[in-house]
Amino acid sequence: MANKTIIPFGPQHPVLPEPIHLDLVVEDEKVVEAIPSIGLIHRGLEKLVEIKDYQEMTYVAERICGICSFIHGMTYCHAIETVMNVNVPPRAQYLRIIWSELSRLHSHLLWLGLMADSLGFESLFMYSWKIREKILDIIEETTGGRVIFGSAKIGGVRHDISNQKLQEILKRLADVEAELKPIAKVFTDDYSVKHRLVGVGVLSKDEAYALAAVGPMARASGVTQDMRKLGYSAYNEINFEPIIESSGDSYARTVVRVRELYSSFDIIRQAIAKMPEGAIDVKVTGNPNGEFMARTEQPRGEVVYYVKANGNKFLERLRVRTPTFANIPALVKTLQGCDLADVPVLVLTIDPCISCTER
Amino acid sequence: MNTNSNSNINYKDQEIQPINAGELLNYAQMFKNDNYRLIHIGAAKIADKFELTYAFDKDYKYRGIKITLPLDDTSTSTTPELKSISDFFWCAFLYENEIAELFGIKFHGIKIDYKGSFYRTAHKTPFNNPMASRKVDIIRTPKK
Repeated sequence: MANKTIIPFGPQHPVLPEPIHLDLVVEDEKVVEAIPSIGLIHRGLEKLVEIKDYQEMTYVAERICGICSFIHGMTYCHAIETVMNVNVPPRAQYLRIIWSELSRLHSHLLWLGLMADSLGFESLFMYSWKIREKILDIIEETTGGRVIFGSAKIGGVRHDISNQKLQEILKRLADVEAELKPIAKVFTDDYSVKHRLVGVGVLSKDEAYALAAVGPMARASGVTQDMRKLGYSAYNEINFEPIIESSGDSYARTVVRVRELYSSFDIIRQAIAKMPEGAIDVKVTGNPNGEFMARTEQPRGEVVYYVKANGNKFLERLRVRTPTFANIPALVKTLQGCDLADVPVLVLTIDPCISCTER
Repeated sequence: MNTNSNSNINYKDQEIQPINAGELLNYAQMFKNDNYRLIHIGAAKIADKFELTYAFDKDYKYRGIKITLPLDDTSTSTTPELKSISDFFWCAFLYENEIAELFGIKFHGIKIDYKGSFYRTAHKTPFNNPMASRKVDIIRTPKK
């Protein structure tokens, strides 16, 4: 039996834009155990409810993450609105869907680029991010921001998108989709990409469910779980099905994200086609009293916002459970038995967002 | 037309059942046997007690249980304690380590116990105390 060696992976590593640490117990070149360590940059943002009122916390929620900032803000608003029985106008609900799906598009394109980069496929990385820029341009034109949208608001949204602009977005998305197709084909069909991903880090359906994996990580293992099916915003009026793959390996996780890009294009088209006229917000007065756990689907999976209020303008508790936090046990499982050289790819396949996790 | 295949799901339906701390493992086993998924474990410090909420999901149906624990009794140095459910839901070790370090609640039998090194915080059990940063308190104090 080979000697066991512990190799530290992270917190600084070329494949990690943010710090996470893994103690990898290896025998020769095989990882036999991985012990995760987070908390290197824990910000304690949840604690800010003691000094920022429930309206101000919308801005804090949006700043938890620089990739899915809008969905963080929207989920927080969704939680407060449910506690306060606020009826958000239909147009605002549809606008939320459009910005949520634009967030998913740019997040998945970002991830695909990072994955290509981790494989050493630099031209694929650059093409992915080139396409992503066009999504960011649409976001900037409709919200004024590329990272922090500033659009989520308790009672609706802060910005409207004119019907003329919506039609323009349709045309531009068609161009983006056409440009994406040859790139997507490389991710799904190229020999060298498949060579690095197929059969690597297999997570079975039972394991994914038992370990409470979420998002593409769970769906790539065959778990039919997509929080958009809860019907928040106006998702209950949109026709879509969760994207499911069954092989549970790194390739399946890549394919799920590629297919979700096309799903998001379709959802945006439906939302624009069904966009109702009317107000984009309602005035919200009073203070929340009660508790609710809002669940929405971020690009990385289910995010949870638990709020508890007692009629004061300061919440008693805000708790955010991010998808990366939920996917750490599944990551640990996939690392067991893998080759040491595959560790960077496997860490990337959960699409780790440490700034979310270190809220 | 509502084409959502889960249109019978209402996200507002959230059943949270208060239970005693001694019943926790029985409930955890019941949820495990019924093939529920652990969504999260959250703690909150409410006035003179801790509230711990365990949330589970099966086919988008939410079920929660809530446990109330007394605050740390400084006169007797008693630390609030609970049993870990990581025997049933292995992934619970993350939530339990987090709560242990942020709130100071002790969990027995965690599958991976970080023993205080899960988070690097400047203050011990920061969520069990009022805003730890004096600087922030000076800037603004909540109105009662």
